[in-house]
Amino acid sequence: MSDITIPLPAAGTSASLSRFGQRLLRDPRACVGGLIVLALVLVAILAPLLAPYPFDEVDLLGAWAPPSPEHWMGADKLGRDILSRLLFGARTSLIVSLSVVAITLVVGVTLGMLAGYFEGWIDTGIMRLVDIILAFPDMVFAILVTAILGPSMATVIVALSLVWWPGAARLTRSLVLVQKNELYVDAAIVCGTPVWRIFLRHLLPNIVAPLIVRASVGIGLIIMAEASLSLLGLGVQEPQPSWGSMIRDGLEALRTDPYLALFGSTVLAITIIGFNLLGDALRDLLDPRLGGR
Amino acid sequence: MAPPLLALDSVSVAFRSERRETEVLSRASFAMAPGEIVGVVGESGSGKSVMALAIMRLLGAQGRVSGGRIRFDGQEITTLPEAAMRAIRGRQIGMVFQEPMTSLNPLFTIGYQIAEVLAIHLGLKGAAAERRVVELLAAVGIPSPAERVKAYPHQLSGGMRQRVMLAMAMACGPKLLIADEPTTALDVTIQAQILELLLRLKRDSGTAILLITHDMGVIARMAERVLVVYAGEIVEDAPVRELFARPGHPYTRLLLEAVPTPRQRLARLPVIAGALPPPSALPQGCRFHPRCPDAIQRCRDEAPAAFVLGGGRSARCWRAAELLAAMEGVR
Repeated sequence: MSDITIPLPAAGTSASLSRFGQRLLRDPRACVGGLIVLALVLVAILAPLLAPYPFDEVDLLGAWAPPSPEHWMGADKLGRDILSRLLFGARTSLIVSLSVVAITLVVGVTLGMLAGYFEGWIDTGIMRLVDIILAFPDMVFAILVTAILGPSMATVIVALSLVWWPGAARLTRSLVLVQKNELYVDAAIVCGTPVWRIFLRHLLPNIVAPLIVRASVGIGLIIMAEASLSLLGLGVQEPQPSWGSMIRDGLEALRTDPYLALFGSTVLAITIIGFNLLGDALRDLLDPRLGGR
Repeated sequence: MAPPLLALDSVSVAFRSERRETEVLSRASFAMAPGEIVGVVGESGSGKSVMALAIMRLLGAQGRVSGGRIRFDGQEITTLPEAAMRAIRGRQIGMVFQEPMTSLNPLFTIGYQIAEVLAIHLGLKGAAAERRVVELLAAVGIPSPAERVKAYPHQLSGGMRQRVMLAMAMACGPKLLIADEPTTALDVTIQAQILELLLRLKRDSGTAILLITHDMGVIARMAERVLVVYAGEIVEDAPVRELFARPGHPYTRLLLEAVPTPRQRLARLPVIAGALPPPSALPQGCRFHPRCPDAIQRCRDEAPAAFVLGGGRSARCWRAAELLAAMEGVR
């Protein structure tokens, strides 16, 4: 609310959308974060065109090769080109993390809103289920699920979603508990607004900011969780690359050949920073009270 | 006389907490004619807001109407299905709250929020809805309404927001407007403007208003009839002139004596000794007797009914007739 002159938002959806676009472009966090995320998506799509080598081309004589004109980022223990594997790995990591975030948000937010708004037995039922899942250490539960379903990328997505939705549900419930006591919800009710509309139009936009933050932080954590599962042989299977499994491989040889871990971690860090910047900027831009700083 | 718009018949409301049920409104009965302004006064916690929430069927999971019937426009609404009740809220009965600062969703423009009500009840959309929103904003006295349509709640002052709330409540031309302390959170000059606006809306649209307040001045200015609520009971129901000239219940009399007037030069304002009893620990007999200067033995033993006193008034006091006659004698 630091702005003194408050511009009136333009009329119509298309006009306010283009305004939103302008504000997005003016926000440095949104620009940097957005560019990183955009680059990642492009890399994931164009990996076969960009990669100098196939991701599974083994060259045992060139194992642990340091960076050179042939291998810009060096090679791993089987002599596979690290750059190529990172480019292809972006696909795995993005598909897994975005799917898991999407699934957990849809399931978690829906159940959390129901629990928080209606309370009573609906609340008790949903939240006890949440408690049961949260009582297990994340990884133990995910390992259990992958062990039952058999290792594959789909399994990883299912397992991590099962582990992650309760957190989203609990966060949503607490946010709804606060918001539903706000007078504007009562005002909507006395206007005869149907419940679904109160959910979608009144509650959801008011709780979306913390959820965006959680989602953007979650993407990094999910990439790491996928790595842990892959390390145990329960996730994405060799020779299919994933950033997580590459970092794990690299850590084993960190003292002698640090490049694999170094480049893998750097890419992961940039990704997480990118999503966080974009998430932060979106949170602020979506809130009209902040005057679209 | 025309059939009443709203009639409460011995309505009780109870709230559940920790297995115990506490009655916070007891046997409230009154009727409202179409277009009438009825004021409800009482201390905080006396049950006046609960009465409004009961009419709107918004008592929440803990509260329920534990007895009596509420009829609105010839329809029993205590037993109405929720969907039918939703069609009444906003369409037939509008409501505004005490806190205009938080009554609007901060994330949507005020125009959008008023248009939402129009879309829900009247199916009004697009340009027609937009025109109507501008009309409504103009009707509640918002300057340059065509531009204000696109303003967010945080860009408006408290008085302006209360006008927006009134525009929302009046959007579908309700037969009854429930205003729960609509001016309490506003400063005095804005208060006067909002009250003036309420009177004008009533004149223009013939909407009946149930005005809840604890300000006797507001009552005197606005109401045609007054309900005085004490400890969950309607202790007096009287036309406003009668009430101010000759209060029928000792509590009403003491309330009026406690209102400071510029002509009085008193060292101390009169007070009513004691405090409002909590609904869980109501005294035996008349609920007001521990604080009543006129209490007799009967008040301690038996709870009085609402006695009809003539002149369209009633009071829940054993000595009401006697005390009124005495007041008459003094004159």
